[in-house]
Amino acid sequence: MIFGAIVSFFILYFLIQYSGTYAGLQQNVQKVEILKSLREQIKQVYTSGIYEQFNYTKRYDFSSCYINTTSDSIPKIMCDFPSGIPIITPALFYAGEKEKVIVSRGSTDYGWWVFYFVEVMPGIEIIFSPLEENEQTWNFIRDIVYLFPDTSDGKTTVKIKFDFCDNEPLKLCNGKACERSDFLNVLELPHNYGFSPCSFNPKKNQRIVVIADSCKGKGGLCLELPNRNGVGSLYFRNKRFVYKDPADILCFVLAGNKEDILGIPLAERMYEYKNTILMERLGLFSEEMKLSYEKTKKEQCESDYLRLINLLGKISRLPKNYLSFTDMNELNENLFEAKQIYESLIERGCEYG
Amino acid sequence: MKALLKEVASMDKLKSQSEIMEYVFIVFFLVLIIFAIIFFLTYWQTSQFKLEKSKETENRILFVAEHFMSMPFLVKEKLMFDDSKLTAVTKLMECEDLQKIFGKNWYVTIKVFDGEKKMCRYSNYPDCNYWEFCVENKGKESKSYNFPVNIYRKKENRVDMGVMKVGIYE
Repeated sequence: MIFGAIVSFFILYFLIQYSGTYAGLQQNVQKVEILKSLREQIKQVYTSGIYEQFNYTKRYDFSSCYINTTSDSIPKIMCDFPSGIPIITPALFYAGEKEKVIVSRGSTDYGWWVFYFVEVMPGIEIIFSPLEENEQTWNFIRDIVYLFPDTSDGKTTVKIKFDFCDNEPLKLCNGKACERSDFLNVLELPHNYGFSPCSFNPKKNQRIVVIADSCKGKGGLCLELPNRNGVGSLYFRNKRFVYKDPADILCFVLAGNKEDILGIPLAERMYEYKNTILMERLGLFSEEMKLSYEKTKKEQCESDYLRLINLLGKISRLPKNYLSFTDMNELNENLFEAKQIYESLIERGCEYG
Repeated sequence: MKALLKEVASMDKLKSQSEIMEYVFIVFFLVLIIFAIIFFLTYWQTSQFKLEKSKETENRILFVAEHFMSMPFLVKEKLMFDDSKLTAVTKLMECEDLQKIFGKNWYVTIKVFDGEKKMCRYSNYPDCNYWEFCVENKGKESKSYNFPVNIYRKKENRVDMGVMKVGIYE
């Protein structure tokens, strides 16, 4: 009997030990399966352009996940649990803490080429704190807002909302933050409000975006107004970055203050990943389009084609240090000029739109 | 009396022997059944894996096909290739460059329906009708599907019908 009791105790002990390990292992397996499923959704949205809601991320905390890239290998989704899931579709990825997410497609249109990417985000509220009020600020805010999906169609329960901050959030739409279409209507209204700096503590899914002429000394996320080439400085936790399109700003809005296991902000990871992919493809596709136009240029638009071909060749050779204001300024200047030429080719019927 | 006792003892012995044999037979058949279940489950798992692999291959083919037909650097508009872009890509990009965009272990060929196959090089454009990406390795086993596609012939400003073959190596 005593022997039986001892044997039973040992068997029970090993069973409990095994169950604990197995449960942990199974949880990781489930998390990886959810991420793989999300990756499939990302691929679908990338090709279709139709945004979808993904619910399985509600089961576990994926807030540590980011996409890591090195110059030689395929990007991978990395998290604080064993993951390393390869993903080739360009995605700005923040899956939140036990939240449903929305998967939508954004783009940066260069005219002769469009850079598509997928945005993955939980429900968030973007609160603008404009310390400068002028037409440029409002246009800038509009460009940022356009990158987010319009969730007011009732298709999803995940909501992306916008608001202004005057010390506290204004809650402009019936005592709540506005969805995209309503907020864009608010932006059309006359604007001489005189906003005070935001002084409230944002909740988990609120993102304060300060817009000012100078961001020095301002914490959090602060954007300086862009120059005529659309390039500006962005300050995140007192560290300076350069933005050249709204997608750069999106990287810092999505992940908020979340960090990875090494203490590096996820926003910085996203910014680095996005620009690595973009610069590589810009170089490649500008050269490709140059070759294409060299063979197909129409006589009646020859001078414009030659200018465009020269510009594309120049763009493919330009230094692409995305942290350098000078490099990005020169790149954007050439990109804008190329876009203008391309648009005039369309107007003249020499290229398709 | 002694004979009777002897008989009873031998009957007892026979009875215990038969009980032991019964026990052995039951254990034998139980073990046989357990092994049969294990083999069945293993076979089931293997066939499930094969099914999953086949589904995965099909999904990959569809993914590559969808991506190919929607990438701005290959198409005039979604589902319509631009022959000048296809030709420029064959000149400019190696398979490794394309694999960074579409993944590994695939090949794609695009051919206009009519006419003898003429491989498109940058030098003979537009007098050609066939494009190849990540050239097929015939030594490797692969699965492929064909898709009807539109190809915009930019120089002639017309649209031709063609077929795109997307293959995934297994």
